[in-house]
Amino acid sequence: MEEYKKILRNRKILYLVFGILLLPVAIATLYLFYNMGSVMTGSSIAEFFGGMLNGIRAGFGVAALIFLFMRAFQYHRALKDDAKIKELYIQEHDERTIALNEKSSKISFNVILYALLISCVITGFFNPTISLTILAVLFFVILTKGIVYIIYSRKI
Amino acid sequence: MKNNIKALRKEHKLSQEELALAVGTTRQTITSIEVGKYTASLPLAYKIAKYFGKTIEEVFDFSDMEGI
Repeated sequence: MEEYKKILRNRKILYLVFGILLLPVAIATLYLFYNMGSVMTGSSIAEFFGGMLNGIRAGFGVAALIFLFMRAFQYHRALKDDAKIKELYIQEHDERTIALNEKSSKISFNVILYALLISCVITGFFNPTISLTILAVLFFVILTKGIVYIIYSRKI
Repeated sequence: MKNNIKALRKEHKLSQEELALAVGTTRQTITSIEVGKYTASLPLAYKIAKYFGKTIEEVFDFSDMEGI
């Protein structure tokens, strides 16, 4: 459990550092959200999507900040209480949860792969730019899977 | 996979939560193992059997796997 305590301490510091680094970015995104309006102008659709992008950026900034500080606080509290550390350790290392994550990730990956493949073919009839973009994403996904597979085949 | 965990738990007057904490897993995992939805890994099966002072074969029924 001492080893796990060290991991939690390191994670707490890491989350705090990232949180502090992200703080000015999150404030900037909020400032832009309230003061800049749409990042794109010209038509009502462009203004709508510009505003939406602005909102998404601000939302992600603030959500990431909240997540980082909440996690750091959760680890800070757990480090003071051995029972909480054990609870956290069990939660993180529970084999059923790990199996669920692995299974859902595997199925999701296959669904995404086939969805990309089908959309690549369909969009090819209408818009070559979108089709080529999807094809690039498809290659990236397959390449990543291949690299990770090779890494793990040497580990296991 | 069938098992005697529920019976052993009742015999030792243990709740699922208590057994889960003792073997380092969650209550949900114990529930899934008991009803046969999830098959425990070898280390977890060993921990459960050891906790009750039994062998793995005495806790888990491997008859389904015979002939595979």
